[in-house]
Amino acid sequence: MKCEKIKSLLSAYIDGETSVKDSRIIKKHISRCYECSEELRLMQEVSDFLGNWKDVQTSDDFCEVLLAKAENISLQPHRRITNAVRPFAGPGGLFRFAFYGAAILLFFAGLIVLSKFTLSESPMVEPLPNRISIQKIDQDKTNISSPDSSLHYMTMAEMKTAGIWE
Amino acid sequence: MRVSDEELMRRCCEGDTGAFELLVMRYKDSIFNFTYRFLADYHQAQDLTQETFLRLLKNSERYKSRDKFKPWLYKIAANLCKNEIRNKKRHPKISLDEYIKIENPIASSYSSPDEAYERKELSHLVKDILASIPEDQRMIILMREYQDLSYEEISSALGCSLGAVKSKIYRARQNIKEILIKQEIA
Repeated sequence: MKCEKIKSLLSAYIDGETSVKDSRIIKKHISRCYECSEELRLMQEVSDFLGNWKDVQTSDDFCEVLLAKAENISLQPHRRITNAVRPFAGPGGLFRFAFYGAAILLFFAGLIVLSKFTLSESPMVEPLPNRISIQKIDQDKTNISSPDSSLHYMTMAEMKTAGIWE
Repeated sequence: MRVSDEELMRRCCEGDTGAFELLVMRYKDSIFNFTYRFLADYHQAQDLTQETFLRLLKNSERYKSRDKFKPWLYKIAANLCKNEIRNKKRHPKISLDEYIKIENPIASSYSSPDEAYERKELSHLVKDILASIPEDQRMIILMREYQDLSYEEISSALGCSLGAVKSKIYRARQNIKEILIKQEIA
C-alpha cells in the first residue's frame, strides 16, 4: 500500500476499526516509514488532546426532576395498548384486515341492492307535487300542449294559472 | 448478574418504572456529557438530556427488541441536539453559561492550583477547537472519542454508512490536527 492510502486508514487503525489484514499491513508499513509513523503519532496526539475535556456532572436534582416529568407521561405497557388499538397488528393481521374489509363491502353492496329493489316498487316514487305531466293534464281536460315533447311539465305557477292547482 | 440494556428497555415497554430508572442511572452521565460537549451549554444540555429520556419513554413502542439500545438512545439525543442548533440559528439568544460560571467538579479536583489552571485552559482550548469544526464532524468525533461508540454503533445512531463514519472521523481528526499545528500545540 502507498503512504496516502495508509494515512487515510490511520484514523480507523487507532480506533481498532481496520480489518486484521489491513492492520497487519499498516503495522508493517509504519515500522519502516517515518512519515506515516509521524502521522500516526499526530493522530494519537489529537485523541490525547481531546481527552483533556473531562466529564461534567449533572446537577443534584437531575434525577428527581426527570422522574417527576416522567410520571406525567405515565409509563404504560405500550405493547398491550398497541395491540388493543391496532386490531390488524401482529400475526394474522392481514387476514383479519381482509375479512373485516370484505364484510364491510358486502354490507354496503347489500344496502345498495336492497335500496334499488324497494325504490322500484315504492309508492314514494311519484312526480314532485309542484310538477305534473302533460298526460295527467290531458286527463284533467286541459289544453296545454308541448311543442317538442309529450312529456312536458308544468310548473306550479302555470297550473295555478290554468286553474288545476289551488 | 447485570441485566442488559435491551432487557431493561423491554421491561420498560411493559410499564416497569424500575427498569426506566435503571436506564436513566446507566446513561444519564454519558448522554449529558455528549449533549454538553455538543452544545457547550450546561443548562440546555441538562434539559436536553432529560428530554432524551422522556422521548425514550414516549417512543418506547417504536423500539424493536432486536435493536441495540445504546445507538437508539444516542439517535434520540443526536436529533434533539441538531434541532436545538437549528433553533439557535433561527432565534439566537445568550446562553446562561456566559453569566454563570459552571465549575467542573471533576476537573477542579486537582491537587495543585497550577495543575487545575492548566487543565482548565486545556479544557477551554478543546472546547473552542471542537466548536470550530463542522457540526456533523463534531457530533461524530464526540461519539467516538468521549462516548466510546464503535463505528457500527455510530452509523446506526446517525443513520449513515460505515464508510461515511470512517471518512468523517478521519476528516474531523485532520481538521483538529491542522488547528493544533497552527497553534503550535502538536
